[in-house]
Amino acid sequence: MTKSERNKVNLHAITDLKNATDDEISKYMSNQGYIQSFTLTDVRLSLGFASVIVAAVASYYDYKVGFEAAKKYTAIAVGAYFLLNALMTLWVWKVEAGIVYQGIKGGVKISLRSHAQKYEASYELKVKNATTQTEKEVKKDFNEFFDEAGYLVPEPLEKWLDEAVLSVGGLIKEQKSK
Amino acid sequence: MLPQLSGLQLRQTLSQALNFCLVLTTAYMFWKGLSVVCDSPSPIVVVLSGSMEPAFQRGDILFLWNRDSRVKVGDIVVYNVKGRDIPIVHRVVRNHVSQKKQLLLTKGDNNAMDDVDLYAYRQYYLDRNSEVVGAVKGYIPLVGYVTILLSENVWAKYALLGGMGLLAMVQRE
Repeated sequence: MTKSERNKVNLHAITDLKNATDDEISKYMSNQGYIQSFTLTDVRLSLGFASVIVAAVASYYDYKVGFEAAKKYTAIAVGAYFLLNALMTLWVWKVEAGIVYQGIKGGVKISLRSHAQKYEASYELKVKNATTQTEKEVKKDFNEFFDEAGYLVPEPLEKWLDEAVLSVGGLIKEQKSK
Repeated sequence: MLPQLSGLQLRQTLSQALNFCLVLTTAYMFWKGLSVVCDSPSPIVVVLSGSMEPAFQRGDILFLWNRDSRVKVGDIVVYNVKGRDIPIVHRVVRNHVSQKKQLLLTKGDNNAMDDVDLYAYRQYYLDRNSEVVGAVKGYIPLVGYVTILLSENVWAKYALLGGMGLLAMVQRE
């Protein structure tokens, strides 16, 4: 991928830096031959859209038959809506818990969890091998893989990721085709 | 383009669409939840006229409660009359109660006459159950001017909705 295909990132916005790095990590993992698992995202999306559908149906029914007639069902729908929302929030908070990538290659399941402190310009990554239950935490400053214009430079990031994935017994591509 | 859109990209697009939908539905469901709790189709109304001055001014927000089966003389109620789409906030000045129903006569504090002229043709009383939306239980001054602006200026409404949508699509915090 050439430089121009990446978006320029505002170097003063930690969230933007983190998001750009997260996106790059997914690309890196699929280049290593991992098949991404979307289970976490799919569950979140299902819960979210289920609640939106509940609200849409409730709104249509209320519009159709009027407030008095729809009251009982509206109450149930409001309860269901906020329950689904609470489940989704719990899911994002407790289960997803910052996981930005899950994938499998040759029987090795790797999950990556990233975090960036609000006022600290470094990227924290927890690499977990779910097959052997080994976990390792690594950290790298953003300025080591972003240039001063705000473009991500993949080589140092990929080298760092190679080390991190190998350290928990993950598989990477043997030789890189240039 | 399509195979590219499957997988990660599709899910990112869906996530952003979901965020937008959640902004709208959360607001709507909070409103409906409040309606159900207060037993009123519109539990919060904005005062649009000066007919209740000095108690309420234009732009005040009123909180309504509709769970008491009878209202009292002296209460301020909001009612909808058939054929008028704007609800009216006025004080109850007279009532006739039976086991089955309660009939009310209302008047604006700042009006010289009672409300008979505002009711439907040949209607002399309001029906508590079918026409009253709720009794006023609390108010916040001035805040309602935002909705007066939004309802009297169509572009303000579109600008707000568009702005909210745009924020939900752009943000990824």
